[in-house]
Amino acid sequence: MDSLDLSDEALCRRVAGQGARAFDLLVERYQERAYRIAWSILRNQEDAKDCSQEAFIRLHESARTFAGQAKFSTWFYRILVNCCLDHRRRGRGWRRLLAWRDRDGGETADSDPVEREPAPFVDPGDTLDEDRRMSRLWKAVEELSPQQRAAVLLSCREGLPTKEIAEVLSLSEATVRVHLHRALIRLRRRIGSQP
Amino acid sequence: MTRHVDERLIPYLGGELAPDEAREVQGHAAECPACRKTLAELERLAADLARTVPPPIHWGAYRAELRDKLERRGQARPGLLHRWIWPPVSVALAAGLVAVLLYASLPGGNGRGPIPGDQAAIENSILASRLDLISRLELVQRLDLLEDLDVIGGLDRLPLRGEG
Repeated sequence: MDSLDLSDEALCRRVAGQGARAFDLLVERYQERAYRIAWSILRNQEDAKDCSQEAFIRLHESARTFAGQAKFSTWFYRILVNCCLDHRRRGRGWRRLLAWRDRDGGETADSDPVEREPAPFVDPGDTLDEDRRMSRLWKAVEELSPQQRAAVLLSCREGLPTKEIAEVLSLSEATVRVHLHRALIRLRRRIGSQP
Repeated sequence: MTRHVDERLIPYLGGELAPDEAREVQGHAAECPACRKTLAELERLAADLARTVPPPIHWGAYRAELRDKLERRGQARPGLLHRWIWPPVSVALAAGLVAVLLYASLPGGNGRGPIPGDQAAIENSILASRLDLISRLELVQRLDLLEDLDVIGGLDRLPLRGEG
């Protein structure tokens, strides 16, 4: 059977058996999703690129441990989200230090994460108000707890069902429902009543 | 009016409610302005989150960079990529090590060579294997009895005490 026709799970088993072509195919299938999820969580292009690549490297290293009980995508998303959350935890200290330095050095540290991005929105139809609304929205997303943020983004952006999000985040389905509910209600309160 | 359905609005939006429950939420939202407003806002929120796209990226460069990183990681940690690249070498080394350990663990081993008694035992075992005697181990173990049988069988020919 041609590798192109193989399922993700079969390709992963081939990666475990040193299949270089299988690894390339999995990267091609998942690169955009991986980068998009990483960017949603990290909100920085370079960090998103690094973390998604790190997730592929971990996939390459640990393909033998893929038992095939979960879907490959669930298994890979778990690796990816862990990479992103690890990255955020590691970076938090540095960001605080840099923010403190910038404050003391008189440099304006823009607190709006969206404003720090060069061109986060590509929809040309966005109005200024719409941009502001989106800026507020993503700022509010940044203020969510890491697990709430991951749950909301996997649900709203990737369309993952609660069961799969629970597997990715190693939580119970009930906990994920609580995270989703609290996160969306909080986001709604932050921006819902504003134009 | 039925009771508010706040806690079921998000599963409803995600399409995760059973058909009966979904109809119940729809029915309630139709007659409850507060829940209808909440539902509309959550719907817009989810749509806003979904439509934001990350900055574009050059996928060819992305994959080339990934390959470089993989290679560097393999060089930094030989246990990873080298495990993939050099399996025959590692297998040969392992086999050699096992052979040395086995040799050292043999009686008279430790690099000093077998002592004569052991050498005879080894030769016997080689001969036995060639003669297919090992497969009849029980018989071989009783060969001493056969020797005794020879003695017994030749008792009448043994010289009597006192005879020349």
